[in-house]
Amino acid sequence: MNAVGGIGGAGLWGPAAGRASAGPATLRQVEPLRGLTLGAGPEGSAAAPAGPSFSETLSQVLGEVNGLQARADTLVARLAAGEIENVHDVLIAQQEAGLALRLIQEVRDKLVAAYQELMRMQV
Amino acid sequence: MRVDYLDRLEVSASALAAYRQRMNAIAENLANAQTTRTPEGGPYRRQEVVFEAGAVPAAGDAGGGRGAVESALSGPRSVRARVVADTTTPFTEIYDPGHPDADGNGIVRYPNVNPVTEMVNLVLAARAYEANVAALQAEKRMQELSLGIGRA
Amino acid sequence: MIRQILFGSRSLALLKGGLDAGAARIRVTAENIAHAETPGYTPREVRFEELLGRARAAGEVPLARSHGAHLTAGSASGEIPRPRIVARAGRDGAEGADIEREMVALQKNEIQFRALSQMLADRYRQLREVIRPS
Repeated sequence: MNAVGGIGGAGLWGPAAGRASAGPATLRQVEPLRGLTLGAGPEGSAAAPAGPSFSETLSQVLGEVNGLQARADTLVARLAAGEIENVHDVLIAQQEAGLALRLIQEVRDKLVAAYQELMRMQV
Repeated sequence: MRVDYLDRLEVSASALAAYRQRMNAIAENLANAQTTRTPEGGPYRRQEVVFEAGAVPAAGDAGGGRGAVESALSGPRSVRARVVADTTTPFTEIYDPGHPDADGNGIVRYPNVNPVTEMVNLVLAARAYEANVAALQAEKRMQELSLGIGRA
Repeated sequence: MIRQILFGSRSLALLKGGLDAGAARIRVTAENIAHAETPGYTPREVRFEELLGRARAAGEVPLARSHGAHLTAGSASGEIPRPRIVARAGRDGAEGADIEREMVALQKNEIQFRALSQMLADRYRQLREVIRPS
């Protein structure tokens, strides 16, 4: 029984798991990590560390990235509708959304790599 | 006129139109500086173009939803131009009994146009026109610089 | 949390504030030029740098930290005051907006805006590179 629970096989991530893809697809791929608990042993309920759990942190971060994307989309729509006074506001929102997404993509890639490394270990 | 980044060009654009009107009036004054008889009777009367502030833009969200800039003053206004006749400057009166437009006393009334004054006004108007062109171009370049924020 | 880590620095917030002020300045200058001969028009200007100085002098609100080891991301951007458009003190009326002075201001503001926007672009480029080296 592995200590890492809840994740299926490679099908979840797929080959070439979208470095180029952005947005909802990427976030969906990260979703299953919510169930990830690095607990000790089968019960997985050994002394829980203080502070937010990994999945809680992940949820919060996903929410933030989502929020930044939504904000950027809103500003672009308002730009098209002629409601934006400063174009640089739209650019800034787009940059922030893109960088946050890029960050979480990197985190995802590292997590996948760590998972695959784990799977390769002979127990 | 709304507050979005394109409509803000309206202010400068309206100023260009206003100064263009002023320059047209000056040209008309110069062309008619010697016109002693007009269809309405009497000599040509000098034209002036006065400026006034136009409508205040409709209330709108300024600055990308963040209300980027505070202002207790009213929003930007366009410039409106109005052509008025110069009724204060008197006509020039020349004694010339042989002139076809001389009145009973041999006085010919010439337009109240001073070509030197008109030329000075023309230079001033042209300069102001160019200044507004520069303002428009500065605004345009600023937008382009904003777009560069996202460039890789 | 991501927002704070990536974009919470004070210098970034200052850049954004500077851009807001710069954009407002160019617009206000254009308006002053357009109304240089409009009777009764009071030229406007944008206050920002002095508002910054005043905020700093008044003391900054310390950032609350839930754990001593957490990063201090510097002051939150909410403390950067918004630029403010005010009427220029002194002469008003048609002579109040000196076209020459406005023209110089126009050039100065454009240079400033160019500098700030390029610095911001560089900042984002660096972040991009740090997150994922190309």
